[in-house]
Amino acid sequence: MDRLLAASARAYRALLLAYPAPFRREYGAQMAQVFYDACRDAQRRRGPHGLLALWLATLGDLAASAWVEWRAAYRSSVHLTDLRGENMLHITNGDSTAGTLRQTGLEGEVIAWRDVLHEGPVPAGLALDQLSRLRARFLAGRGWGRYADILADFMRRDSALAQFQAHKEVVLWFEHDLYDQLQLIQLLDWFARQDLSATTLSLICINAFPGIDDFHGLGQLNPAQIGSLYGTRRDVSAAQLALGSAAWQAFCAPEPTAIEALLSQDTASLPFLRAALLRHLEQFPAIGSGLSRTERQILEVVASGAQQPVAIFMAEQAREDHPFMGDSTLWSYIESLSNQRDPLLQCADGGAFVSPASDRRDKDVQQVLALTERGRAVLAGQADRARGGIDRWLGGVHLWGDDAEWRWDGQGRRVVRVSG
Amino acid sequence: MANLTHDSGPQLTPAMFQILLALADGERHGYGIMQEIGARSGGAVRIGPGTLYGSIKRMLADGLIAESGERPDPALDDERRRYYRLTEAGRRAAAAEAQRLADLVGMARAKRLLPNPDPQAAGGGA
Repeated sequence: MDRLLAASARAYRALLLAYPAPFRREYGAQMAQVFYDACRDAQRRRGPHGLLALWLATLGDLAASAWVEWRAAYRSSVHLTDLRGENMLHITNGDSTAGTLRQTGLEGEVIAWRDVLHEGPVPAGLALDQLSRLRARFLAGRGWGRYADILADFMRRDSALAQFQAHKEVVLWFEHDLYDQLQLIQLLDWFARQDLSATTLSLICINAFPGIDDFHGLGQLNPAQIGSLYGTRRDVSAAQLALGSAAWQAFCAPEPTAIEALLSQDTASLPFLRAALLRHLEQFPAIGSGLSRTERQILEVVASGAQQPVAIFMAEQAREDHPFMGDSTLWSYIESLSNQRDPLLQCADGGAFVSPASDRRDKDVQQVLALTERGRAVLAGQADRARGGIDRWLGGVHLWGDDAEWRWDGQGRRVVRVSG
Repeated sequence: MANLTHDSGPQLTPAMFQILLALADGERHGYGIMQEIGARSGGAVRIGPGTLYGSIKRMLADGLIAESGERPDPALDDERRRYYRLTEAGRRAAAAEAQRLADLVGMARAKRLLPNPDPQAAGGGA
């Protein structure tokens, strides 16, 4: 890179400090990139004089636009303080619990984190906004919404999080299962890198509730029950922040051994984390059959007589110690098992399974499924589902190629690298 | 650099209108928008990175533009580079602003501040 260009790029990045931090976080990298592109073109066309003219114009732009952004940030903070009453931010797993929280009468803003992090790519090294874009693309690709809508939801969520310092307290409301524990460690990792000197971070994380025998999650609780948990919140400790952050980095690592290394340490400060991460590892293709635990359970319940999507979902969930998967996600697994060159499942008419639409048209939920011959062979361990081609992300691990590089060893309860 | 105001109000600022015009014929990333504005005006109008992204922020919030999920070549493209496209609301807002400006030009012609267009050139001859 030309020295003059490099110096200009460095100077402009330093000048970005003139903007409010949330604006800088959201657009700073883009602005620096655009300025660098403009410098390169100006120098190519008019040499140092072109660069100087660009700098003069850009300094004027910077002064004017920074003033506008600070004025907008000030107005926004005044508005938020008025709006938030007791100045609390509640973050929870999904829309159901968020809706109940809003009915409790507790003051403050509520946001739902809403990401099925156990599905699709979650690679290491991305800032929150970059990861949100990647996740929105993945979720839209699965047919779970339009990219623009999902991204807009994530941006609202991330923007509310970025303004956490406007609140006196942030309360994290999560349960014990894999879906929640992954969201929790993502948030703990993010908060571990923030200045928490003026905001209390507290946690409510449960796996049971008095009077509910078959507790699955916060979504089962009514407003009074949710409200009763509020007094049980505890400040997030330094140990919990450190463990959450380490667990998130292990989850995003390109090799699953990072998770096993984490599990070899003391994880008692987040008591439900160990079981959740072990359940995640069970999603790796098993030695022999090449099936993830979810895929194996689907084939088992179909072999046992469950035939239609809703029945398969209910029966499969019953095989989970701590159910974590929604119906749409499970149906995408069925689709994958039936929609491949040599399917393991097929519909009664011989066709591939189509995931029921979100409005659940009758014909979709009445599809009747059965095991194919290959499905029976794979379930019996006589054929390997993963052999012949795989392209699947599990956290930061990308299983790709003719065979899965990493396999779940059910007997040893660990993942192993498969050579060749 | 032309004096394009950077305003946080709900109205379409000149910078926003320029961005809408730049996106009218296809999605672009930030520098692509700047280049299109500069090229279309023969270099007379330029907007800086601060005005560009301040405007983009407000236009995203107002639903006038959206980030595009499509990338020209996902394998080669930089994850950090974001592409933007016009929404239907953005297209309507740009058309309304263009009409407002056309009405102003019509008014200036009626007051003989501008010459009337040649009817032959405009295709309006009897």
